Amino acid sequence: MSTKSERLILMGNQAAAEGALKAGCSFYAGYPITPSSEIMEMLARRLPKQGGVFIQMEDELASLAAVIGAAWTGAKAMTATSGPGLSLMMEGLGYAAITETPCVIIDIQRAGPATGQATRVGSGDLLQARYGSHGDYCPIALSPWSVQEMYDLTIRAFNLSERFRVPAFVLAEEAVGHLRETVRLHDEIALVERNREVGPPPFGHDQQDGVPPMPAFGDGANLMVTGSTHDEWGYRKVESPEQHARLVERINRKVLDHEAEIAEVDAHFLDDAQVAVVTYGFCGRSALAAVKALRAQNLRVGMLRLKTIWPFPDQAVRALGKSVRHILVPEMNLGQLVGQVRERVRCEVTQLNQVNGEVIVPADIEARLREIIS
Amino acid sequence: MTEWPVEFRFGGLGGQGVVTLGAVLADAGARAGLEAAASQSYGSSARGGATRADVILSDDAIDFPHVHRPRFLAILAQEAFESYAAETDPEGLICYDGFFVKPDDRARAQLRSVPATEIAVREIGNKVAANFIMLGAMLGAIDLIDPERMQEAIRHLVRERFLQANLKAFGLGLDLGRALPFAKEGS
Amino acid sequence: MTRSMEHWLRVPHTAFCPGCGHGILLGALVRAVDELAIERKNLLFVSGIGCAAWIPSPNIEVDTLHTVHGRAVAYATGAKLANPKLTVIVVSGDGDLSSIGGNHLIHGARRNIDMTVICANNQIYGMTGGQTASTTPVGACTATDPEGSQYRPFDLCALVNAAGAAYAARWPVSAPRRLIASLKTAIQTEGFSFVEAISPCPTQFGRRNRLDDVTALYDQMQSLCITRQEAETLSKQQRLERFVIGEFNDD
Repeated sequence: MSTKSERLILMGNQAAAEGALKAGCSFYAGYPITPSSEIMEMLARRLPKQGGVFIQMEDELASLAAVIGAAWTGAKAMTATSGPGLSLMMEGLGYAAITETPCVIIDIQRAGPATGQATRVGSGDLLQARYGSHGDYCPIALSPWSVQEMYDLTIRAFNLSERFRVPAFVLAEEAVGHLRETVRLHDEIALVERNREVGPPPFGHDQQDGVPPMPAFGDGANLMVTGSTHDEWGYRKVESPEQHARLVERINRKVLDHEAEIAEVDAHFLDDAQVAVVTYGFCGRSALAAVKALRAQNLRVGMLRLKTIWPFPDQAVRALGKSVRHILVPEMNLGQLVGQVRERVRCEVTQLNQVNGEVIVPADIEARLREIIS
Repeated sequence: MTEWPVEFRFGGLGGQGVVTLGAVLADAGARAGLEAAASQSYGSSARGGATRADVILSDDAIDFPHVHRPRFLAILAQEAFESYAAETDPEGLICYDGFFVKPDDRARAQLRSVPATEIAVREIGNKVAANFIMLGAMLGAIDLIDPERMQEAIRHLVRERFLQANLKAFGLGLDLGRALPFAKEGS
Repeated sequence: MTRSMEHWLRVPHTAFCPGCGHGILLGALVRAVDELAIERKNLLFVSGIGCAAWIPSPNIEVDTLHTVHGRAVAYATGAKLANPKLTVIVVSGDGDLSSIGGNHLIHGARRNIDMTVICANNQIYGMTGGQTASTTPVGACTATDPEGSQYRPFDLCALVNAAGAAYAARWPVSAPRRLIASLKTAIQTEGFSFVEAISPCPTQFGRRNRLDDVTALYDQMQSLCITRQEAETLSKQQRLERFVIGEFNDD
């Protein structure tokens, strides 16, 4: 057990890089962009020293492309970016989804659209991560609220990505990426390693969990990896309705069917709460301060923090909808997740949105909760 | 007994090193066994423009990590004084570099002029070291963090090339601050 | 060239149109790797989108990575850096590599990472229906330039050379022995090497340019091929109307 004094102070972006190294990341490709660049700068120094590869690519299209190419050689590979770069990565995201390539994308969200405010905060990429590439796919997306979680959830993103052969996001906001906080870098971490078995079809549909083994280039599997619709061996089947449906349904189902394993939430003061905040990312910090202030006045408020955004924590939010009479969803966007909440609950849902490039402060959430209570 | 949490703010212009001060204080706080959170607002920090660094130190988990009402404010530029002086806790302390800052009555906290830039030029030979003189002066006056933890943090975070100059600057500031301890009015 | 190359092939026939040059390039490619005796499991073919991207995938029985449009070089860069033991060969078309993928092509050459890029240049977008490419000659008719293309084509070998390629060569598929020799040189060259194979497209290019007869198309291609020495007597503009063939590793 570490003592408090052995804790470190790290910036969120540095903690994410530490988490990546701890998770076994051996390949980084990226393109500089505020407010995520500290991640690539740190990995540029650290990865080569431990036998890994760092490369700065010509743009974000190439960055995710290189990550996917590296992942197929067996590497745990990642990139980091922000909204404008993520927009370019939508092409690679769809490719990673259909080829079932594990990879991690850390997105440090800033105020958009377009160039927007490069150094200011926003939570505008939730729906882009989920739906930004064409066709149906379901990535995993985790939402850290602290520097500690930048570390922990980056490790988890690698593990889940390897476990399910899907791209996994750490969807953080600038306010967490640039926050410096006390953090403890654990040593006892369970790491998930990819099943590289050669023999079974690498895109097969028979596995109970929907996740086929993934041999690497050089393993002698004569792999056929393609972004076109393919059968279990990788042969293109671009005119077969059955093959397309089977593939697309499986790559979605393998994530959605495991919501219980993937989706994590963090509950505060919910036991007797009549009004709850449903929150994620940095807003959770504001919400917790607001909820505690109201609890100090014996008001029955609580909060449910979504540590996983995608797949959406369906069960936890449905259950909450049955136990409280009113839900408040504060977001640093014009309401990207509130719709997900609304379609799962029958109680009243109020949204609190802010897109001025600043964080929502506790006083604003506290005031809105008071209005709801009275 | 210190009433935790304590909120600090460092304000200046890009290039004056205020973000470094925030990082150093947070790091020292963690070394002293405290919880710490530091954040910054920097537009075009490398090219001038108002910049601030905020730090919260606490003996318990920090829920909301941004500074709302700093108790201790260190100011290296007039723009920063104008932005942050009024938000500062009336029971707190504002240290400012008299070379750049002309305080006015919007500040309700105690005011203290620290000749940081003047000393930096005279004793260090580089005005950029004013930031660590200011940090030393504030920490010396309020006596919340063991200076040894501060020096460890400086060694940890400052590049080798600037380390000796900044340690010296911090020490000079510390002597200034200790000579005139901060006491809450009326206490 | 008498040995059977079938052991390199995964499928019994290709999807290429009658008269397409890509089948000849496929044949040249497997002969090159066969003669170099590269261990099959360390061979990786990467391709983009288009007819030429189908040359390795699924035809060649090795690891193949059939990627998205334009990015083959970037995918290949990741794979090669992450596993330097792999012999990485990119095969794609002119539109894929030099239009949508032009930036990756020049950055690949600039970095000089060890890989071979083979461009099957048919001077047109074949798979999408005969639209203008960045390599279409001035005056050639396409689906999007029905009156003839008005902009100059890239000289791809000059482009990659200027960007830093270690080796570049251009041959028509009608010169298979020289093509195989250059493919072998390119694969053995350390660094970024580039081979442009002029590979006629009867279906889209021939049909739209009064070259319906496949032999006429091939005859015309060969008549446009000139050596570097012959090219020296021509203006820059005239050179762009021909195929200057040979090896271009000017150092």
